[in-house]
Amino acid sequence: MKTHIPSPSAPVLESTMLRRALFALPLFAAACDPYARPADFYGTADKPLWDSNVVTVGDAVYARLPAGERLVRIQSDGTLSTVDLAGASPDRMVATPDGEALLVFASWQACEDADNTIESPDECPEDDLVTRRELARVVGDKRLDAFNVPAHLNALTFTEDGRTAVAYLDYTEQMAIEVDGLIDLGEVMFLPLDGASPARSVSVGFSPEKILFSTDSAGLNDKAVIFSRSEVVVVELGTLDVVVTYPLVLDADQVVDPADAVLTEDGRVALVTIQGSSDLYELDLEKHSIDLEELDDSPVAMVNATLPEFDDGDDLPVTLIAYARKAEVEVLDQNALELREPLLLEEPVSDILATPDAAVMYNRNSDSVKDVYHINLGSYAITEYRVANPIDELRLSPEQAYAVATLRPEIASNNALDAYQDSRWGLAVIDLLNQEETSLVLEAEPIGLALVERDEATYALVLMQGLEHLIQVNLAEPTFFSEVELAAPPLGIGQLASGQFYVTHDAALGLVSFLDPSTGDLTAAGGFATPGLFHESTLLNR
Amino acid sequence: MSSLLLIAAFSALSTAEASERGKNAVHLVYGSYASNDAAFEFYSPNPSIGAAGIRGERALRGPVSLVSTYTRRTVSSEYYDDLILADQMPEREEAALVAAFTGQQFTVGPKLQLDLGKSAFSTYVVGQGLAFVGTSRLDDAPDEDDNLNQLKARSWAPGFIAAGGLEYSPRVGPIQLSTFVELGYNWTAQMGFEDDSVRESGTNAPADMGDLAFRGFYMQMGLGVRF
Repeated sequence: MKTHIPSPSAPVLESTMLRRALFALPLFAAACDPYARPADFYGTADKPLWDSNVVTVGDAVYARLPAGERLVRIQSDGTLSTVDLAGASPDRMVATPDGEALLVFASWQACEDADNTIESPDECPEDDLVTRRELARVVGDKRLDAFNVPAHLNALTFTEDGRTAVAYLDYTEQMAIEVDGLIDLGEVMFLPLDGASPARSVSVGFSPEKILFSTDSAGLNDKAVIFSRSEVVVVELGTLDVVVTYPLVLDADQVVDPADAVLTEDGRVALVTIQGSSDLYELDLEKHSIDLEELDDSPVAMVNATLPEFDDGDDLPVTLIAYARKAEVEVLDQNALELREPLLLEEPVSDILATPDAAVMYNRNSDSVKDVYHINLGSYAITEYRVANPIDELRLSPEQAYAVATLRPEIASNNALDAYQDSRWGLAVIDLLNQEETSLVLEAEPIGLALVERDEATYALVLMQGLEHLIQVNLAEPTFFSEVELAAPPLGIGQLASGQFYVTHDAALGLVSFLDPSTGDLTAAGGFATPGLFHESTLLNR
Repeated sequence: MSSLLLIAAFSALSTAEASERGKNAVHLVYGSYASNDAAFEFYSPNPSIGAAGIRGERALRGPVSLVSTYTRRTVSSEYYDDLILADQMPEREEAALVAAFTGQQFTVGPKLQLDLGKSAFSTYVVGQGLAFVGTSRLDDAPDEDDNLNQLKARSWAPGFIAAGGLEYSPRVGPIQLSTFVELGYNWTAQMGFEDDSVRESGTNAPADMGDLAFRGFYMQMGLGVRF
């Protein structure tokens, strides 16, 4: 390699030009485009950027951002805003029944060390680092107020009138329960949302799981009926005092867990079934007494319904009780608390949907049962439909003229075409008025189903995994369908108070589409998962 | 082998007829700015950004000169994880997200150079003010040109570099080959990134994405000419 070195005596070679050229080099460097190349690294994320299990309040959708520890509000007009939780991170959220507010279980870290210079969790001694929690009430994008709720109470239920929320422990296996000093696993907390009285905890036995609310003559909820292990507790909502406790066993060594419960239409009696038992407990909430009804088998579903114009033209409130293994449904007269003539079916059912004058019954638990029964509760007339594959989910259209079921694959039968259908996901459309059933084969697994009525027609909107379009099926002619192109593969579908539908999409930075069912117009709102993306954990000393 | 030849060439030059060292210089540089900021891990598993660029130097008075540097580098990471919390996620063949960060550093400041006798070596200390321009680009469908979620956020922060170095520049001819290496410390203020498409609660201000800073060990080396 030779290097040419000019001699010192060489003429001052084009020095001005050369110097200018040398100083111009940065301009050439700046002009390079560094993006036209593959990525340098494979990244891994500790937390997801957003949670597609969104919650709707009014005409907005709220989404949690676990990585950014923020909450965002996505309005159907595409407006995106963060929600101020006063520095706390949203853990779970529930919309209030009136659709006016969002209740957010929120948490933050604090350091109990007296050193004021400590700013980050890393600087705080391990023993002094604590997690504090609250239940914040959010309206719009503002935190209105908050309740101090024990950390282990992770679920909420509401009275029908929306005035009171009840926080309780919804325990799932392997769930970590945080104990700060001590906790009462039988605790529920009543949160008056109207601010009429302070929040208050009540101990209601072990592992309370189901809470029902009775209604007074004015239509306001007056009592909470709380079902826990081996006992049922009734709490007066006005005073939050325990009115009565019903033991479900006579021997303290015995343990029973309620499986299901309903209140009779007049709120006078609570009907309770027990896991693995054929006993039906009838708890009289006025006389504070218990009756036992011996059923034929262990019940699997219990639903209130009405037998229209049954006795002398009066409607008769009843409770329909289905068995897991018996092909019949009991009809319990709520006035007399006696069993009437049962509905006899060909196969057992696991689910019941009641309408004002009928009931639709089907089985989601068994692969061999494919019957759907439509029962006229006035005449006991039963119409039987048989769908092609086992039922995964079934819904009634808003006017209850159609039942639409998603069908799951099953072990293929011998016949070639049957085997084709058996091995695939499907959609069954049942015209309950014209008594026709059509079972269709879907391209992929359905991940969302919504039913909508517009222009005097009823449509099923079906989202399928991995497909960037939404199937729109006219239920009057289910063989014909149209497709609505989506911006990205869908994850779920839901409905806003306005009747619009929202679709969440597989897009890491966040994407929600809003579908106007009256026009079929689709608008997208995306990129909402960035707030707080680069944040570092800080301590919050409120 | 080529490195040995280069050293041999420089050694030969150092024994050549001596002359004044060129007062001005231009170097192609490559160096590293430390981040040590957890937020930078979103773009790179390395705690620093290596950046190439160019540096100019102009004599002021005696051993003092003014040094100015421009460097630029983009680092990017592809994410194939499920970045969404969902009951069911579709199978993925393409990246779920590409996150790219471009750092551009403009530095300027005085340099005090101390010759080591009449040899080709000299040492120096340099202190430079710094303007660090960071650009964050996020794309959750990199194969689609018209993807709705192509976000770009830019921010800048002032800072400084304090470093000491060793330069080798044979004093031969009006244009002299030169190479240097310098080590020190870099510091920038926090660069705050914002997303214009999301507004902060109750305001019209863009949503805060968070901060990023570059602070820590600094290194740069260069190869160029003095004239």
